[in-house]
Amino acid sequence: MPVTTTLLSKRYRDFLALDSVSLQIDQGEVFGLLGPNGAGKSTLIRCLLGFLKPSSGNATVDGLDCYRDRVAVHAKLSYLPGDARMYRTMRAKGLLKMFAGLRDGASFDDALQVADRLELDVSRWVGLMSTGMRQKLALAICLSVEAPLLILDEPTANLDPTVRGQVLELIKEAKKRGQTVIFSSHVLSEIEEVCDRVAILKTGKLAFQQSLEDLSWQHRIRATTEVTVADHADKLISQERPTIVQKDDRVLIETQGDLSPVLKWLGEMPLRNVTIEPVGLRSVYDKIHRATDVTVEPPSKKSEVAE
Amino acid sequence: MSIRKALRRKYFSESWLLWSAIAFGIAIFCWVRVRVVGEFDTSQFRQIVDLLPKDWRKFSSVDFDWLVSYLGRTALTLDEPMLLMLISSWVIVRGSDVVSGELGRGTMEMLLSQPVSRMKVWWTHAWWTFVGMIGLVAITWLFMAIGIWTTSVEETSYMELNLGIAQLPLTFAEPVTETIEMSSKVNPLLFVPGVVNLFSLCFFLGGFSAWCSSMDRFRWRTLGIVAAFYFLQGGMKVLAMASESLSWIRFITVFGYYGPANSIEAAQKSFLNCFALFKVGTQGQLMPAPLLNNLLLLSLGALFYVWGSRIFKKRDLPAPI
Repeated sequence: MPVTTTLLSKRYRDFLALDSVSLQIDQGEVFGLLGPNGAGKSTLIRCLLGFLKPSSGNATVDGLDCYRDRVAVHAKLSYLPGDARMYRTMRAKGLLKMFAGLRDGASFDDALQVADRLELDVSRWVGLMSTGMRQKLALAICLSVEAPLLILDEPTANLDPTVRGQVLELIKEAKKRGQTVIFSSHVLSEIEEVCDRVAILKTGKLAFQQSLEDLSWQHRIRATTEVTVADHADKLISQERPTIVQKDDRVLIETQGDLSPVLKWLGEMPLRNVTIEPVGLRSVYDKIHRATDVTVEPPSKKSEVAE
Repeated sequence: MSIRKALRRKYFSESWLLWSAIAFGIAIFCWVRVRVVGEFDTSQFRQIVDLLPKDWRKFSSVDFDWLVSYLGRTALTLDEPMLLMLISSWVIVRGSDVVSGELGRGTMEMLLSQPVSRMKVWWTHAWWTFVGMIGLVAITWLFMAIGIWTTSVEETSYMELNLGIAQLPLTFAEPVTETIEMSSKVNPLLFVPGVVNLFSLCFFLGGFSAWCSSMDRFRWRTLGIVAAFYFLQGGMKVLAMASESLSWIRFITVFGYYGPANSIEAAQKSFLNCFALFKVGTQGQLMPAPLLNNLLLLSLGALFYVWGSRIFKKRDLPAPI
């Protein structure tokens, strides 16, 4: 279920909530959406759902326009809102039944099974449920549908660690079944655990996107030395060029791809206190979050950065 | 289960308690109101009315003499603020819920992320409001009728001396009091045009509330706007009746087109009067007649429903706050 946005923008009077975001999410991919509060994640998701009319650009799901053909688009997706609120005057069981009735092919029994897996008591009144229980109920509604596309806005918010694990398992199972998943979260470790690719939004712009596979090949090397490392860069026998930041005797080198030639190169220099660590999503996120301009230089050729 | 059926179930489950409470209130009120009418002899009212200043007659759109009859006093049940508040609360509460209520509660996005069109949500909601409205209007008529069928009235009269060309009541003689069934004095079927007018008013208020709701995101604000409109319109009607120079205001207030007693009086004279567009009032002024009243209220209600549906179809749905 390919999802595409082309120069998608949403403006509220003088506030630009989403600024020319172009994305391509492939069939069967688990796509992570990251960004601080107010970055435009929910606006992007609401444009995909046809809840908001884009100010310019467009969004499509399986070739269908998300705004004009929204009912057809909704037939292909299942959505979990960031702040899932439910009908308080109904019991959980009745609600699961109602939502199963709103979709052709949806099964009440499947919804009950997911609810059971999430340890949800379906005999309770929704109005008497805690926030976490309502989240589980919304998850049972959303994840029991075998729609080709799942859009999950912070699915693990308000959940205890055990149920969080269950939710991530359910997402992995959805991926195995070939469902495309768009997964917005503030928990970086969850994104790293389940996503194939990640995009970071900042102030409505797409600041960064990269596959997590590529990210796992990136390393950061810290060391102290008396020499200027940049002067020795020409001795490195590799296609990939490292990023070198040196202040006095402390040096930070970011590499991508195979570490073997880099280690050989480093071995030829008089380095002390050497530490090597994977770059990880945390540092990418922090780097983008700290940057005043959203245009951030990526450490990999495969990563894409907004112009 | 079809999508429409699932939606109807949803709307039923979230509103049956409200409907039942209002229906119970209306049933009790109408029955008690008719019983109270039966408690007082009409002839006593006639004497009181004769003492009222002539100016007061302008506050009534129907003849005072008719108004003090059993039929007239029973017909005034449909003008009672209590009844209007009860039945309006159904249409206003339901009408205001359709968009701003769901948005405010944050339940709209879960619902609309299903393969359900906004139009289906809107019209299924409206359908259930209509059904509830018809039910409440039917209960109004039924319990007025039950009140009539179960009430006996005492009528005081004097022996009369037949003079051939006229009958002279012997008021110095002992009055004769007899108990008769109220149904012999009041035909419940005559109230049908009155409750049709009540339905028309409810239909308008439902459409107006839904229209306000379609643009808003906070239900409390929608309710505030509708309530302000309701009381403003009511005040305008009183103003129009109180001052002859401001009588034109009657035509720009929806309550100017709500006159169930008018419709009942017209039906009593001739059933065909229910299909008249205009009539001449007690002061000789041209006034809207039952058919025009109903047509205007129903048309405006339908206009607001359709207009609201267009707004809802095109509007952005913001995230819940």
